[in-house]
Amino acid sequence: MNSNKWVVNYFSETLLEIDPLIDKTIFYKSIGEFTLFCYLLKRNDLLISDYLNLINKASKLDYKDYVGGIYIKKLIAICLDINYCNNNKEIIEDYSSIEELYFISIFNSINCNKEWDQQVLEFISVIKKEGLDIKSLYHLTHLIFFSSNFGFNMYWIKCDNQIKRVIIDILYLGLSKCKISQNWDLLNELYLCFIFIEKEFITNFSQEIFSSFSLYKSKYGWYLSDGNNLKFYEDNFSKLNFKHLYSIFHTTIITELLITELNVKRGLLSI
Amino acid sequence: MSKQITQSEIKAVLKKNGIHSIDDLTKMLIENDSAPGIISKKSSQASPLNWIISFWRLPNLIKDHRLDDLPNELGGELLK
Repeated sequence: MNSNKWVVNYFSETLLEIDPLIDKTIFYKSIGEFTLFCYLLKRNDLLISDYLNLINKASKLDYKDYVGGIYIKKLIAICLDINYCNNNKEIIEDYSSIEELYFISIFNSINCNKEWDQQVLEFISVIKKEGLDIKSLYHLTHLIFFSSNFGFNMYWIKCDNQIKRVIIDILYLGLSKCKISQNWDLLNELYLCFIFIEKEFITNFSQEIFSSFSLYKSKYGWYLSDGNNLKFYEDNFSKLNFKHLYSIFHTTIITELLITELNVKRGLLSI
Repeated sequence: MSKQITQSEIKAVLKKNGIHSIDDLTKMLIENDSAPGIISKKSSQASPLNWIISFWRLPNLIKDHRLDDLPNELGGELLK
Protein backbone atom coordinates (compact mmCIF):
# COMPACT_ATOMS: atom_id res chain seq x y z
CA MET A 1 0.00 0.00 0.00
CA ASN A 2 1.33 3.47 -0.72
CA SER A 3 1.65 6.07 2.02
CA ASN A 4 -1.07 8.38 0.69
CA LYS A 5 -3.61 5.59 0.82
CA TRP A 6 -2.61 4.64 4.36
CA VAL A 7 -2.90 8.28 5.52
CA VAL A 8 -6.38 8.52 3.96
CA ASN A 9 -7.51 5.27 5.59
CA TYR A 10 -6.06 6.18 8.98
CA PHE A 11 -7.51 9.68 8.94
CA SER A 12 -11.02 8.74 7.85
CA GLU A 13 -11.42 5.32 9.46
CA THR A 14 -9.52 5.78 12.73
CA LEU A 15 -8.86 9.42 13.60
CA LEU A 16 -12.26 10.82 12.64
CA GLU A 17 -14.03 7.87 14.24
CA ILE A 18 -12.25 8.16 17.56
CA ASP A 19 -13.68 10.04 20.53
CA PRO A 20 -11.44 13.16 20.81
CA LEU A 21 -11.83 13.01 24.57
CA ILE A 22 -9.65 9.87 24.67
CA ASP A 23 -6.75 12.27 24.20
CA LYS A 24 -7.81 15.73 23.13
CA THR A 25 -4.21 16.96 22.71
CA ILE A 26 -3.19 14.16 20.38
CA PHE A 27 -6.45 14.39 18.48
CA TYR A 28 -6.12 18.09 17.68
CA LYS A 29 -2.38 17.84 17.10
CA SER A 30 -3.04 15.16 14.50
CA ILE A 31 -5.62 17.34 12.75
CA GLY A 32 -3.42 20.45 13.05
CA GLU A 33 -0.31 18.79 11.69
CA PHE A 34 -2.21 17.25 8.81
CA THR A 35 -3.81 20.57 7.84
CA LEU A 36 -0.39 22.24 7.95
CA PHE A 37 0.99 19.45 5.76
CA CYS A 38 -1.88 19.96 3.28
CA TYR A 39 -1.32 23.73 3.31
CA LEU A 40 2.32 23.13 2.32
CA LEU A 41 1.25 20.76 -0.47
CA LYS A 42 -1.35 23.26 -1.65
CA ARG A 43 1.34 25.94 -1.83
CA ASN A 44 3.20 23.74 -4.31
CA ASP A 45 0.02 22.79 -6.21
CA LEU A 46 0.46 19.23 -4.99
CA LEU A 47 -2.61 18.81 -2.80
CA ILE A 48 -4.29 15.63 -4.00
CA SER A 49 -8.08 15.24 -4.09
CA ASP A 50 -8.06 12.43 -1.50
CA TYR A 51 -6.39 14.78 1.01
CA LEU A 52 -8.74 17.59 0.05
CA ASN A 53 -11.66 15.30 0.95
CA LEU A 54 -10.10 14.78 4.38
CA ILE A 55 -9.69 18.54 4.80
CA ASN A 56 -13.38 18.90 3.97
CA LYS A 57 -14.20 16.45 6.73
CA ALA A 58 -11.87 18.24 9.14
CA SER A 59 -13.65 21.52 8.37
CA LYS A 60 -16.81 20.12 9.98
CA LEU A 61 -15.12 19.60 13.37
CA ASP A 62 -15.62 21.93 16.27
CA TYR A 63 -12.45 23.83 17.25
CA LYS A 64 -13.88 26.38 19.68
CA ASP A 65 -12.42 24.71 22.74
CA TYR A 66 -8.99 24.27 21.25
CA VAL A 67 -6.29 26.90 21.59
CA GLY A 68 -4.77 26.37 18.14
CA GLY A 69 -8.20 26.08 16.54
CA ILE A 70 -8.22 29.49 14.84
CA TYR A 71 -5.03 28.63 12.99
CA ILE A 72 -6.27 25.19 11.96
CA LYS A 73 -9.45 26.77 10.57
CA LYS A 74 -7.42 29.32 8.63
CA LEU A 75 -5.21 26.58 7.13
CA ILE A 76 -8.33 24.61 6.18
CA ALA A 77 -9.87 27.69 4.54
CA ILE A 78 -6.74 28.23 2.44
CA CYS A 79 -6.73 24.57 1.37
CA LEU A 80 -10.40 24.83 0.38
CA ASP A 81 -10.00 28.24 -1.31
CA ILE A 82 -12.63 29.85 0.88
CA ASN A 83 -12.62 33.11 2.78
CA TYR A 84 -12.32 32.88 6.50
CA CYS A 85 -12.47 35.86 8.77
CA ASN A 86 -11.36 35.49 12.32
CA ASN A 87 -9.82 37.40 15.11
CA ASN A 88 -6.27 36.42 14.32
CA LYS A 89 -3.65 38.12 16.37
CA GLU A 90 -1.91 40.66 14.24
CA ILE A 91 0.47 42.06 16.80
CA ILE A 92 3.74 40.21 16.79
CA GLU A 93 4.56 41.04 20.40
CA ASP A 94 1.62 38.92 21.49
CA TYR A 95 3.00 35.62 20.30
CA SER A 96 3.25 32.92 22.91
CA SER A 97 5.13 30.28 20.95
CA ILE A 98 7.19 29.98 17.80
CA GLU A 99 4.21 28.33 16.10
CA GLU A 100 2.05 31.31 16.86
CA LEU A 101 4.74 33.69 15.60
CA TYR A 102 4.83 31.65 12.40
CA PHE A 103 1.07 31.76 11.89
CA ILE A 104 0.87 35.48 12.66
CA SER A 105 3.64 36.11 10.11
CA ILE A 106 2.17 34.04 7.27
CA PHE A 107 -1.48 34.97 7.73
CA ASN A 108 -0.69 38.68 7.96
CA SER A 109 2.33 38.71 5.58
CA ILE A 110 4.57 40.23 8.24
CA ASN A 111 8.36 40.02 8.07
CA CYS A 112 9.44 38.61 11.43
CA ASN A 113 13.20 38.35 10.82
CA LYS A 114 14.01 40.27 13.98
CA GLU A 115 11.92 37.89 16.07
CA TRP A 116 13.55 34.88 14.41
CA ASP A 117 16.97 36.41 15.14
CA GLN A 118 15.91 36.65 18.76
CA GLN A 119 14.78 33.04 18.83
CA VAL A 120 18.01 31.79 17.20
CA LEU A 121 20.07 33.79 19.67
CA GLU A 122 18.15 32.41 22.61
CA PHE A 123 18.43 28.88 21.32
CA ILE A 124 22.21 29.08 20.97
CA SER A 125 22.54 30.77 24.37
CA VAL A 126 20.61 27.97 26.05
CA ILE A 127 22.37 25.04 24.38
CA LYS A 128 25.76 26.64 25.05
CA LYS A 129 24.96 26.26 28.74
CA GLU A 130 22.95 23.06 28.70
CA GLY A 131 23.84 21.06 25.60
CA LEU A 132 21.17 19.50 23.43
CA ASP A 133 18.71 16.77 24.21
CA ILE A 134 15.91 15.32 22.13
CA LYS A 135 13.48 18.06 23.20
CA SER A 136 15.81 20.87 22.20
CA LEU A 137 16.59 19.16 18.89
CA TYR A 138 12.85 19.12 18.14
CA HIS A 139 12.75 22.77 19.12
CA LEU A 140 15.58 23.46 16.67
CA THR A 141 13.84 21.63 13.80
CA HIS A 142 10.67 23.62 14.36
CA LEU A 143 12.57 26.86 14.72
CA ILE A 144 14.07 26.22 11.28
CA PHE A 145 10.75 25.07 9.77
CA PHE A 146 9.01 28.24 10.90
CA SER A 147 11.77 30.80 10.45
CA SER A 148 12.34 29.59 6.88
CA ASN A 149 8.59 29.32 6.22
CA PHE A 150 9.33 25.71 5.27
CA GLY A 151 11.99 26.77 2.81
CA PHE A 152 9.85 29.48 1.25
CA ASN A 153 11.52 32.67 2.44
CA MET A 154 14.98 34.23 2.44
CA TYR A 155 15.67 34.25 6.20
CA TRP A 156 18.42 31.61 6.17
CA ILE A 157 19.78 32.72 2.82
CA LYS A 158 20.37 36.20 4.18
CA CYS A 159 21.45 35.03 7.64
CA ASP A 160 24.96 35.78 8.87
CA ASN A 161 27.19 33.06 7.43
CA GLN A 162 28.93 32.21 10.71
CA ILE A 163 25.63 31.72 12.50
CA LYS A 164 24.36 29.59 9.64
CA ARG A 165 27.52 27.45 9.88
CA VAL A 166 26.93 26.97 13.62
CA ILE A 167 23.37 25.80 13.03
CA ILE A 168 24.46 23.49 10.19
CA ASP A 169 27.19 21.96 12.38
CA ILE A 170 24.64 21.39 15.15
CA LEU A 171 22.30 19.75 12.64
CA TYR A 172 25.14 17.41 11.63
CA LEU A 173 25.70 16.49 15.29
CA GLY A 174 21.97 15.77 15.63
CA LEU A 175 21.99 13.71 12.46
CA SER A 176 24.71 11.40 13.69
CA LYS A 177 22.99 10.95 17.08
CA CYS A 178 19.66 10.14 15.43
CA LYS A 179 21.24 7.57 13.15
CA ILE A 180 22.84 5.83 16.14
CA SER A 181 19.61 5.88 18.13
CA GLN A 182 17.50 5.04 15.05
CA ASN A 183 15.15 7.95 15.64
CA TRP A 184 13.70 8.12 12.13
CA ASP A 185 11.16 10.80 12.99
CA LEU A 186 13.71 13.32 14.20
CA LEU A 187 16.21 12.25 11.55
CA ASN A 188 13.77 13.15 8.78
CA GLU A 189 12.95 16.47 10.44
CA LEU A 190 16.69 17.23 10.49
CA TYR A 191 17.01 16.36 6.78
CA LEU A 192 14.17 18.78 6.08
CA CYS A 193 16.04 21.48 8.02
CA PHE A 194 19.12 21.06 5.86
CA ILE A 195 16.99 21.41 2.73
CA PHE A 196 15.13 24.45 4.08
CA ILE A 197 18.37 26.20 5.01
CA GLU A 198 20.15 25.40 1.75
CA LYS A 199 18.59 23.33 -0.99
CA GLU A 200 22.03 22.25 -2.24
CA PHE A 201 22.07 19.78 0.66
CA ILE A 202 19.70 17.58 -1.33
CA THR A 203 22.58 16.21 -3.37
CA ASN A 204 24.41 15.25 -0.15
CA PHE A 205 21.53 13.34 1.35
CA SER A 206 19.14 12.04 -1.32
CA GLN A 207 20.69 8.64 -1.66
CA GLU A 208 21.02 7.91 2.05
CA ILE A 209 17.46 9.08 2.70
CA PHE A 210 15.88 6.79 0.12
CA SER A 211 18.08 3.82 0.98
CA SER A 212 17.23 4.10 4.70
CA PHE A 213 13.48 3.62 4.04
CA SER A 214 13.96 -0.16 3.97
CA LEU A 215 14.62 0.03 7.73
CA TYR A 216 11.40 1.73 8.72
CA LYS A 217 8.90 1.84 5.85
CA SER A 218 6.13 -0.65 6.37
CA LYS A 219 4.65 -2.73 3.56
CA TYR A 220 1.34 -1.09 4.58
CA GLY A 221 2.58 2.39 3.66
CA TRP A 222 3.30 3.89 7.09
CA TYR A 223 6.71 4.75 8.52
CA LEU A 224 7.95 3.64 11.93
CA SER A 225 9.03 6.56 14.12
CA ASP A 226 12.04 4.86 15.67
CA GLY A 227 13.74 1.59 16.42
CA ASN A 228 14.25 -1.48 14.34
CA ASN A 229 11.18 -3.53 15.13
CA LEU A 230 9.25 -2.86 11.95
CA LYS A 231 7.92 -6.39 11.62
CA PHE A 232 6.74 -6.43 15.23
CA TYR A 233 4.68 -3.31 14.65
CA GLU A 234 3.33 -4.61 11.36
CA ASP A 235 2.24 -7.83 13.07
CA ASN A 236 0.72 -6.03 16.07
CA PHE A 237 -0.73 -3.00 14.34
CA SER A 238 -4.31 -3.70 15.39
CA LYS A 239 -3.24 -3.62 19.07
CA LEU A 240 -1.52 -0.22 18.95
CA ASN A 241 -3.00 2.51 21.10
CA PHE A 242 -3.78 6.10 20.05
CA LYS A 243 -0.34 7.40 21.04
CA HIS A 244 1.42 4.68 19.07
CA LEU A 245 -0.76 5.43 16.05
CA TYR A 246 -0.12 9.14 16.38
CA SER A 247 3.60 8.46 16.46
CA ILE A 248 3.37 6.49 13.22
CA PHE A 249 1.04 9.05 11.64
CA HIS A 250 3.42 11.91 12.43
CA THR A 251 6.48 10.13 11.02
CA THR A 252 4.52 9.19 7.92
CA ILE A 253 3.50 12.75 7.07
CA ILE A 254 6.97 14.12 7.93
CA THR A 255 8.53 11.54 5.62
CA GLU A 256 6.00 12.31 2.90
CA LEU A 257 6.88 16.00 3.25
CA LEU A 258 10.57 15.11 2.96
CA ILE A 259 9.97 13.07 -0.20
CA THR A 260 7.92 15.92 -1.68
CA GLU A 261 10.66 18.44 -0.90
CA LEU A 262 13.32 16.19 -2.42
CA ASN A 263 11.29 15.75 -5.58
CA VAL A 264 10.23 19.37 -5.90
CA LYS A 265 13.68 20.79 -5.26
CA ARG A 266 15.34 18.25 -7.53
CA GLY A 267 12.90 19.33 -10.23
CA LEU A 268 11.23 15.94 -10.46
CA LEU A 269 7.85 17.46 -9.68
CA SER A 270 6.61 20.65 -11.21
CA ILE A 271 5.71 23.59 -9.01
CA MET B 1 18.37 9.19 22.25
CA SER B 2 21.01 7.44 24.24
CA LYS B 3 23.48 10.30 24.34
CA GLN B 4 22.66 13.95 24.17
CA ILE B 5 24.88 16.49 22.51
CA THR B 6 27.00 17.90 25.28
CA GLN B 7 27.70 21.46 26.26
CA SER B 8 31.36 21.00 25.25
CA GLU B 9 30.37 19.75 21.78
CA ILE B 10 28.28 22.89 21.31
CA LYS B 11 31.12 25.10 22.56
CA ALA B 12 33.49 23.40 20.11
CA VAL B 13 31.09 24.16 17.24
CA LEU B 14 30.87 27.81 18.29
CA LYS B 15 34.65 28.10 18.65
CA LYS B 16 35.23 26.46 15.27
CA ASN B 17 32.99 29.12 13.73
CA GLY B 18 34.73 31.99 15.48
CA ILE B 19 32.07 32.66 18.10
CA HIS B 20 33.43 32.97 21.61
CA SER B 21 30.54 34.62 23.40
CA ILE B 22 26.87 35.40 23.06
CA ASP B 23 27.90 39.04 22.63
CA ASP B 24 29.63 37.99 19.39
CA LEU B 25 26.38 36.43 18.21
CA THR B 26 24.27 39.43 19.11
CA LYS B 27 26.69 41.69 17.29
CA MET B 28 26.57 39.54 14.17
CA LEU B 29 22.79 39.52 14.12
CA ILE B 30 22.60 43.29 14.55
CA GLU B 31 25.23 43.94 11.89
CA ASN B 32 23.57 41.57 9.48
CA ASP B 33 20.10 43.03 9.74
CA SER B 34 19.09 46.40 8.41
CA ALA B 35 15.60 46.17 9.88
CA PRO B 36 14.90 48.34 12.94
CA GLY B 37 14.57 46.68 16.31
CA ILE B 38 16.50 45.58 19.30
CA ILE B 39 17.89 42.14 19.91
CA SER B 40 17.92 41.45 23.58
CA LYS B 41 20.09 38.85 25.21
CA LYS B 42 17.34 38.25 27.72
CA SER B 43 14.82 35.55 27.08
CA SER B 44 11.58 36.58 25.39
CA GLN B 45 8.18 35.22 26.29
CA ALA B 46 8.06 32.77 23.40
CA SER B 47 7.93 29.29 24.73
CA PRO B 48 8.92 26.17 22.87
CA LEU B 49 5.87 24.51 24.36
CA ASN B 50 2.97 24.63 22.02
CA TRP B 51 0.44 22.75 19.97
CA ILE B 52 2.68 21.32 17.29
CA ILE B 53 5.99 20.62 18.90
CA SER B 54 6.16 17.38 20.69
CA PHE B 55 8.28 14.36 20.66
CA TRP B 56 7.31 10.79 20.77
CA ARG B 57 8.99 7.51 20.47
CA LEU B 58 7.78 4.02 20.10
CA PRO B 59 9.09 1.52 22.58
CA ASN B 60 12.07 -0.32 21.26
CA LEU B 61 10.52 -3.65 21.99
CA ILE B 62 12.34 -6.87 22.23
CA LYS B 63 10.49 -9.74 20.68
CA ASP B 64 9.50 -11.33 24.00
CA HIS B 65 7.56 -8.26 25.11
CA ARG B 66 3.84 -8.00 24.68
CA LEU B 67 2.10 -4.70 24.07
CA ASP B 68 -0.14 -5.37 27.06
CA ASP B 69 2.89 -5.29 29.33
CA LEU B 70 3.88 -1.78 28.39
CA PRO B 71 3.19 1.27 30.53
CA ASN B 72 1.15 3.97 28.80
CA GLU B 73 4.01 6.45 28.70
CA LEU B 74 5.95 4.39 26.22
CA GLY B 75 3.71 5.48 23.37
CA GLY B 76 5.28 8.89 23.43
CA GLU B 77 5.85 11.72 25.76
CA LEU B 78 4.26 15.04 24.97
CA LEU B 79 5.71 18.29 26.08
CA LYS B 80 3.39 19.91 28.53
